[in-house]
Amino acid sequence: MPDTGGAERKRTARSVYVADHLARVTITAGGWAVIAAVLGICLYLLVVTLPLFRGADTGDAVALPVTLTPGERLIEIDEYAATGVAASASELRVVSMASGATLGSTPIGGDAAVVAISRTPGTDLIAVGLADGSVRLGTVGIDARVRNVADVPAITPGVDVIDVGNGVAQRIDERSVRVIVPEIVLNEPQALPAGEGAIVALDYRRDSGGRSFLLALREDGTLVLGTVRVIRPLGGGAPRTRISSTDVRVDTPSAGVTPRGVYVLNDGSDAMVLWSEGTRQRYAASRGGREIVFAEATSLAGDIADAGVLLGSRTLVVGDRDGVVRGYSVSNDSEAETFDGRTIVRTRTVDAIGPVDDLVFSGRDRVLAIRSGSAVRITQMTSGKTLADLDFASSLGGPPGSVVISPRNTAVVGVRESASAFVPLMTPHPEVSWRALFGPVVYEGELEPGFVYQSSSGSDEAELKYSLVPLVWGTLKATVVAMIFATPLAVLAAIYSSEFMPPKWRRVVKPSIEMMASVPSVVLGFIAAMLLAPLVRDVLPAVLVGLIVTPFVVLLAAELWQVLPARIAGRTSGSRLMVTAALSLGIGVGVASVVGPAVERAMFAPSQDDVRVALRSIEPVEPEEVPAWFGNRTSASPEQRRMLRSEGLAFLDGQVVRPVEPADAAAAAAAIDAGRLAEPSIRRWLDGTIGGPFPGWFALLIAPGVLIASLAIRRVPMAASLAYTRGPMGGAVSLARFIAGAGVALMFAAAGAWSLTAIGWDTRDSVFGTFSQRNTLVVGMIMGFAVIPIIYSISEDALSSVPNSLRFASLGAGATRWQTARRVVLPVAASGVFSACMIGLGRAVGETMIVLMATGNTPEMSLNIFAGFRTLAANIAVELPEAPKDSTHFRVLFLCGLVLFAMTFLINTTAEVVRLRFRRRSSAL
Amino acid sequence: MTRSAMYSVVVGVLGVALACTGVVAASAAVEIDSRLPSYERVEGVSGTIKSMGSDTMLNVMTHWAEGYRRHYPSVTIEIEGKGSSSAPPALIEGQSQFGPMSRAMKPSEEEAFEKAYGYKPTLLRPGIDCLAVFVHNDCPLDEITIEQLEMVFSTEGSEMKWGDLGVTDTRFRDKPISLYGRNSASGTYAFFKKVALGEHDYKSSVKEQPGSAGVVQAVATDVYAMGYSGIGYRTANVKALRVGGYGAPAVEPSAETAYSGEYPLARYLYVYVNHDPTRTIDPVREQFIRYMFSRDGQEGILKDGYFPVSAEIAREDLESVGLEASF
Repeated sequence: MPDTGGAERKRTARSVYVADHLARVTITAGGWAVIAAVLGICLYLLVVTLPLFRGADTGDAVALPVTLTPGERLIEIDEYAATGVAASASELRVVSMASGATLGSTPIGGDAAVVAISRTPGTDLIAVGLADGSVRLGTVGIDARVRNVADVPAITPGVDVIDVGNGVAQRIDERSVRVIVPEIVLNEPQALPAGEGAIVALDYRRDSGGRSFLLALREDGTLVLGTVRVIRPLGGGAPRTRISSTDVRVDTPSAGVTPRGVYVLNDGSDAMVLWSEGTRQRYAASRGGREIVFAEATSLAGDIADAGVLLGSRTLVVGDRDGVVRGYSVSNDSEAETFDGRTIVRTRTVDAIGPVDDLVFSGRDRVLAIRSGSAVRITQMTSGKTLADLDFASSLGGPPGSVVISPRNTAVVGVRESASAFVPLMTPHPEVSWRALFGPVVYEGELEPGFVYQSSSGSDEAELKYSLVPLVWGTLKATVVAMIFATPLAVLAAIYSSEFMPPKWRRVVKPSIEMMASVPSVVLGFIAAMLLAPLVRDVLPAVLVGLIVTPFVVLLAAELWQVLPARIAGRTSGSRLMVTAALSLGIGVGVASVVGPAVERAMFAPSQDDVRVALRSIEPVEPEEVPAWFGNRTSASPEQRRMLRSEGLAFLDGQVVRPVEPADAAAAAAAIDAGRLAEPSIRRWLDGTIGGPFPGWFALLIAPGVLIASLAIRRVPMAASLAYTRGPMGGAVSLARFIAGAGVALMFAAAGAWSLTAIGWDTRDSVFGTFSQRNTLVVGMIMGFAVIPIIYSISEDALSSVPNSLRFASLGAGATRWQTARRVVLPVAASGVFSACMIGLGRAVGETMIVLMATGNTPEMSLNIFAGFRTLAANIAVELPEAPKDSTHFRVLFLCGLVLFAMTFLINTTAEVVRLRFRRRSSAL
Repeated sequence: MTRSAMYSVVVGVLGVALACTGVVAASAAVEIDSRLPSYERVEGVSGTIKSMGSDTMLNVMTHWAEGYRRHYPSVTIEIEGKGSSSAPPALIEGQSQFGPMSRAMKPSEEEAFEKAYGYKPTLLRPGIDCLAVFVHNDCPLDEITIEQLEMVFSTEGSEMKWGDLGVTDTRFRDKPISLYGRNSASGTYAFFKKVALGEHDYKSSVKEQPGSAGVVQAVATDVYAMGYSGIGYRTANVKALRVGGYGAPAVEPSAETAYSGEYPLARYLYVYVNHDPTRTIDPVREQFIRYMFSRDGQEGILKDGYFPVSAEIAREDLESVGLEASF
């Protein structure tokens, strides 16, 4: 009928086309704009984070007029690269880096010859060891002042750097000039309090608390450790010093070897002696520096070329002639056979360009320059990142005699006798590499590789740890726990309200649940921290028991309802049924609050031995009675303590003891009462001080038990067929089946827990552990509350949009409403329900405020649901104000953002793919 | 006044209220150096002041701001206290004129500042604080050493129980010590890490609180707790431990032990300013600095439970920003 069509076309107003066109353009533009915005954000995050992975930028080598006399070595340059200090056997000479002129010199030897010089990067300390066995301590520093150009007449237009008197003037801008005057102070030679003969090696450093340590080895093998503590009265007045010293006789490992160096590590608590054939001896000092004792001796592979200590004095770095540089630190080790329970651990390995000649340490961070001939590799020891490879062959015409890194890592200076060269260096983010961010790293003082996030400290000396793994872990942990809470509740609620609830109720209930979504997350966080966390702490047994008992009571109520005769059951349908169901929920909570404490009494009571240990009613154990696996350790891990307890022993104050009957029963009873020692406590169980592994396994195995029971029961055909008959008879069978199932589940859990306990495994190293008030459980609950409305609302929409024809067909074929909901409606709406869950998941991953307020925010990596954590989002919120723009920390926080973005992107994409697959399946209907 | 200033003032007042309940006894004995003059108003001061930094010093800064505004009502003052680490970035980017810090700047922070301005930031020391280690009033422990603190708070030590510190009370002996501390932006966190923990990392079981008052409050409600914060936040429900270490006997955190340097966790409270040494400082900031070091300013320090500085230090610091001291 062409006429009709034509008439239709004629009636379409022009404005409709315009509007149509406009709408299309706007929507298309809007769509593209959204895509562009998302890509733009992604790009911006990338632009900010990419510089993290770059190495160092080096400029071209600039020739300097500085020359050295034979036997002289450049030991340092100042932070403005204006002056340098060269050391020879007789003096410290200050040179101007710009002119090469000598600005001043300080004699160092005095009457005796200089045998060793220790200059510690990152501090101003210098120590000179003399042939007569005395030392001279002192400082090397600069006095830098900013002055007006007018005050420094030597700086004329066109002149930027010039020597002024015994210092150097540097122009900053048109108005101001920086005048740098080196200051070297050397005290008079001091005799060491012990030992004979010349100084062989010495080390002089300062710890973060302001104490300085001098470690010196003398010719006769006496190792002297001196500690100087300077007390500065804050009220004013001269500083007071407290000096203490201790010494020990060092054993030469074998004849003919000579000491290569001595190093004081870990704030004066360890002293290392390194020998020429590669033996390393560690001497441990007591914390006050009052006593020093031999601890261990180990051998190093390789032919040692040079060694030194990284900033922070925790790592001894040894470079050998095979071209490998290794870092060693001292860490606590419960397996160690040393008297102090500590041992030397290799933490880092870095490859040099060739056989190592020299190691040069930065005073700013853990950057290290490794010289092999004329080539120098600049590397960072924590991240293992090679920052730059330099070669002084062309600029100096040969290998440099000495290499120095400027105090701010802004330059590397190589000096030969005849020439010197200055290479500008930019190392913006040396501590970050893929390995440092995502891989396991053996940090200083650690025994095993681990993942740690510790981004700030009070000084530049601390090793910064930028592993994002604990943050990703925290994010996932929070999300998983929240989803475990939210998904079943929200989806079941959606099924209930779409399939079973009377429509007039549904019109009220649905919007009110959606209202939950409008509660600001900061308020939820506040509630979690101030209300829920203390509440959970106070009624912990009831909460934990309630997680199992409440659903059980609700299901039991449903089964009981089935048993009711039809005429009574018929009366409680519709809204009355709903009230009954809600009532059963309340009864469930009530039962839990009664059963909880009872369970605590039954399963978490301390044993007689536990009480005796708490009372200190103990006797020492003969060495041969100590279990062989325990050996003669002086410290024990929580696991080892528990194993001892299972053998009727205990570990207290560094030794194995056995609980015995208290001598004075009356006094003991009074003490037990006063200390409430015999009281059952789930928190003491979580701490690992009482009880065995049974309750933990029992709680964990209930869920699999329920699963197995429900599968097993279904296999009983008789019961199955009868249970579906309506009426008291069918109801009774169903009830019996339910109770039998519950019994099977409990028996399974008990049997499983018993056998796992017999094996000796314990849940308290993983899922359970020490209770902290602001923990994953609390956050999971409240975050679950935040995502429930989203999951509920979208699932409900999906379920209600399933065409009624399907429901009627199913009901008409004789299926019950529950069977219809489960077998017909849910599969059809699965794509919608699934995307609801995924949107909820996306929300939980990015949730910030709740986590920020309701956890301890410590980046901890444990499975323990009673421990806190830190998420990526919370980390950004906590640390952004303290991160200077463009610093490593700042960029790492942006990287956190990028990782978070990637995680949500991944979740959403997976969700979409799965959803489409579901939809394709259900569209066949 | 902007929103954040309003908020800060409210926070400050709350903090002051908390702080005032318990510290009176400790501060009564301390006297302000009699050479410090009372503050006198000068003409021609107007403008704005923004301070960003330490939470420990939030109360003090708020006190000073109130006192200063009594003399110069036209000057608007904004104070934020997110933590000492937020002071250097704000100073560098010119967002603030004063950077109160409860620790000294790290070389890397000074260097970032110098990179932007060519000169280093100037540090002023308007007060003294004893970082106190707090336990609940019912706790039988009275003293602790620096070495023990390291074992308790850092990863160097294993999980500690009260019995490990020598507590024999059966109620406490086998209970783990519940640890509270500050967040990582805090100067108190950094100072404690540096001086007490020897730069070892904090245990992951140390619960981070965003403010000093939060630490004290947490210790007040948790019988098995130990936490650290500025002495100015002490309340009636907590007890400050005597601290010893390096072989020296334990001493009470007090003005005398801080002045003599005996208390190992005593520290200056710092205020950093961006002062170009080739120019004279502007009158708004000049007068604020003079106010800090006046009798009135030092009374503010005392009121918050911290300890005033001597006239020598005041003179030295005034001279470091090119101001002449009238005393």
